[in-house]
Amino acid sequence: MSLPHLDRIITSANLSLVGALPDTIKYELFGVADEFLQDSGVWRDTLQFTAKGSALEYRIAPAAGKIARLDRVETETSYRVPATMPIPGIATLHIQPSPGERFTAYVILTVNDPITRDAYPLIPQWVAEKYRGVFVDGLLGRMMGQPSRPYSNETLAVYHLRRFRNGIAGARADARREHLDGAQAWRFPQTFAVKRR
Amino acid sequence: MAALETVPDYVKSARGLLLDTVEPYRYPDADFVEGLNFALLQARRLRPDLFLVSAKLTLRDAPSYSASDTSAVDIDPQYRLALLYYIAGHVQLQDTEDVQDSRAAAFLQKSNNLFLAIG
Repeated sequence: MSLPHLDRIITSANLSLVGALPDTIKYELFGVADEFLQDSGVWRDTLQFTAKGSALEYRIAPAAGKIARLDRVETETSYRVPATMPIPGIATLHIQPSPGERFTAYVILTVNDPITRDAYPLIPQWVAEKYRGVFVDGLLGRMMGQPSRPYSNETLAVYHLRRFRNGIAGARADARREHLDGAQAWRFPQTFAVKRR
Repeated sequence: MAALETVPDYVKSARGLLLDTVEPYRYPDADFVEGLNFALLQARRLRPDLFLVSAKLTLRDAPSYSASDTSAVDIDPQYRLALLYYIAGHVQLQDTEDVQDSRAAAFLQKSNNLFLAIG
């Protein structure tokens, strides 16, 4: 199975890496994607769960990827309730829920094993397409930073990793502004008073 | 099909580098096969990424061959020349009559460069 959006990233990196093997680049792509997704928080999902009795802890799992962080938990009426996630995948409510009450957990996801049969990490297509250049910089930085390889290049590794970190910062801002051009990080009036800045 | 696919391909090309292409041969096939096995061990040490099985997230061991049969040598085409030069250097180094240590060293150095540097 070929994934064109990831193949383009791998080929772009390979063109600048003399003697690198596509499989090695594919392997490194997992680490690059993990760092990008964990630090930027662009891959988000909502997971519903229903209160059972007076239980405070609920196991939540996304259909793809794995949970990196919990953003917030809301009731059906969009009221934000205090909740934490001491262990990724287990949401802990800090209120006493009513039995049968439905909640929505907003979570930030990252890549997870297993990968596909062809060793591609599972990354949403839109993320790979929008942040293609950032992924390529991350790959080049990591690959060039490996010692004693034909493609080792300490100077360029530092350059590409700096671009990669800048790209992550841009993506983090995109995620917080929900990809709105010129938007602020808050919305009037509901979340203004409660949203963590 | 890329060059240097099987064990006999390596033996034949290494004989070419050592000017040993006319029978009766100076160096037996077994020396070349041994050189190939050692070259693969060296590759595994210097470039473990050549033995990455990415779909299984594991590194495989270096393969080993017992004879110059039709066995395929599963190594990325970019690094086949490095194996070839190592074999030639290894066989040349073993020769005590036609002593050409500097040539052997040059082959081994070339192999090392192909594994680790651009040229």
